[in-house]
Amino acid sequence: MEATTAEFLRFVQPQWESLHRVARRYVVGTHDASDLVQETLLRAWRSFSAAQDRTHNRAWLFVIMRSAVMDWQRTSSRRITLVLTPDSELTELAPADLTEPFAPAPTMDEQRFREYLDDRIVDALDELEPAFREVIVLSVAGDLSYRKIAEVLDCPVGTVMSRMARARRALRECLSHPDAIASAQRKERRMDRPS
Amino acid sequence: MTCGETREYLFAFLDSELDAPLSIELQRHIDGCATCAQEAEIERTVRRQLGQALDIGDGEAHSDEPSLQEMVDRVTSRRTVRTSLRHRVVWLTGMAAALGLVVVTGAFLMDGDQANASDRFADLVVQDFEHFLSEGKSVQIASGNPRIVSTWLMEKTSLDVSLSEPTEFAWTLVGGRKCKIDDRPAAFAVYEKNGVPASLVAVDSEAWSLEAMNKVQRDGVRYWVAHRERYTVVARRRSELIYAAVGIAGEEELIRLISVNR
Repeated sequence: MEATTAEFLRFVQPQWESLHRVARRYVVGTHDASDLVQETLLRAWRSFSAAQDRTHNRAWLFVIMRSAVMDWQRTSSRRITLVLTPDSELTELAPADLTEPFAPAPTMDEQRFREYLDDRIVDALDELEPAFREVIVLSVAGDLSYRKIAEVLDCPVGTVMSRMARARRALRECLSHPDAIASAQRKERRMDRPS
Repeated sequence: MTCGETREYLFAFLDSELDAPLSIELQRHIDGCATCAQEAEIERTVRRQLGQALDIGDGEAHSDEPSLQEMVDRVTSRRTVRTSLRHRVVWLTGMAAALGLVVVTGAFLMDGDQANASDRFADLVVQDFEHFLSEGKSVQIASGNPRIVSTWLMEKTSLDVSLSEPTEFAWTLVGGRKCKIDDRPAAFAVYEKNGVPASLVAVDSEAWSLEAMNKVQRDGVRYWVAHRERYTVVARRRSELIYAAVGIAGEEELIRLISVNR
């Protein structure tokens, strides 16, 4: 039976917001993100409308989005902010002992720590290796489980778990960098100075 | 569990990706180790702030971005438009007509009888439970500690959820997940008894009417009951929430589940 637009809309709706959040991390601006979502849905519709069995899960849309990003890398690379490497070509990222203590967190009270994170966290994310950045984006922005991320990246769940742990450690190191903390402390002193 | 092992599994734990036995073991370590507890709290804060930052986006105005309906209509009719080049296909007449129809239909339905609203509530919670079963019964936070699960659900849904401590005859708490019922936030606690799953769903009580469901009374407490094929729904109001127990267990078992959580 041919798929209806209503069926497709019902399928896409739960993923609408997360598709946009993830798209904004793959490409340059919100308009390009909107185009990426559109491209994703166009490709998805072609498959959805033709399929007999429409039991796609939410990872499927992100698989399609990722494929679109890789195509754009070849044709419109200036639109891409998160450059992807097929997992099969990814050489093992610097091994880390995941039992080692974390980088020390900045010494500040909770309120100031949250403000510090507000200022710094997206920049810190953007400093990560693309493979690290992507697992965090798929998890936090895409709201995907590790199992779903493994489907998107076409790798074992154990790889996702390991890569996620390394990614979050790397993020912690970026946030703990002395330059970033010094900059935040300078800003605090400027704000505390009486006018 | 050692501190090193805790660090190794911490992120998976915070993402609710560890199986229940390992989760419980890690939680036990955190409960007894101030250093690891502090690290867990820092990483929770980092994840929360990151989620907020990625949700907000880059702050650019999105008023000219196509809606879901517009975009689906474009792709299904092959009339895609590249927004980044600001090409516009003006659909105002068609969309205004469609929107008007939706508003009129919505007003008609909202003015409809309460029976439809509470029947719909029962249908939706059963549908959500069936979806949970079909997705492999995965929880987003695996813990048997009601305080931990309640706190997590409150953070994720902004609903003032409070799960009770287990009693001898109660169901076993497995974990929780956030979800949406009819696009409204819902907290979903997962229980199990002798291998039979059940959920306890909490939603904002103002959004739903239970009046058309069958009323029963137990120990001076009123419950509303509905049956849908092999599923039973038992609901009660508590404070500003409706709690609804859903499962294939019988009415009395689900009343027992929901009455423990008082």
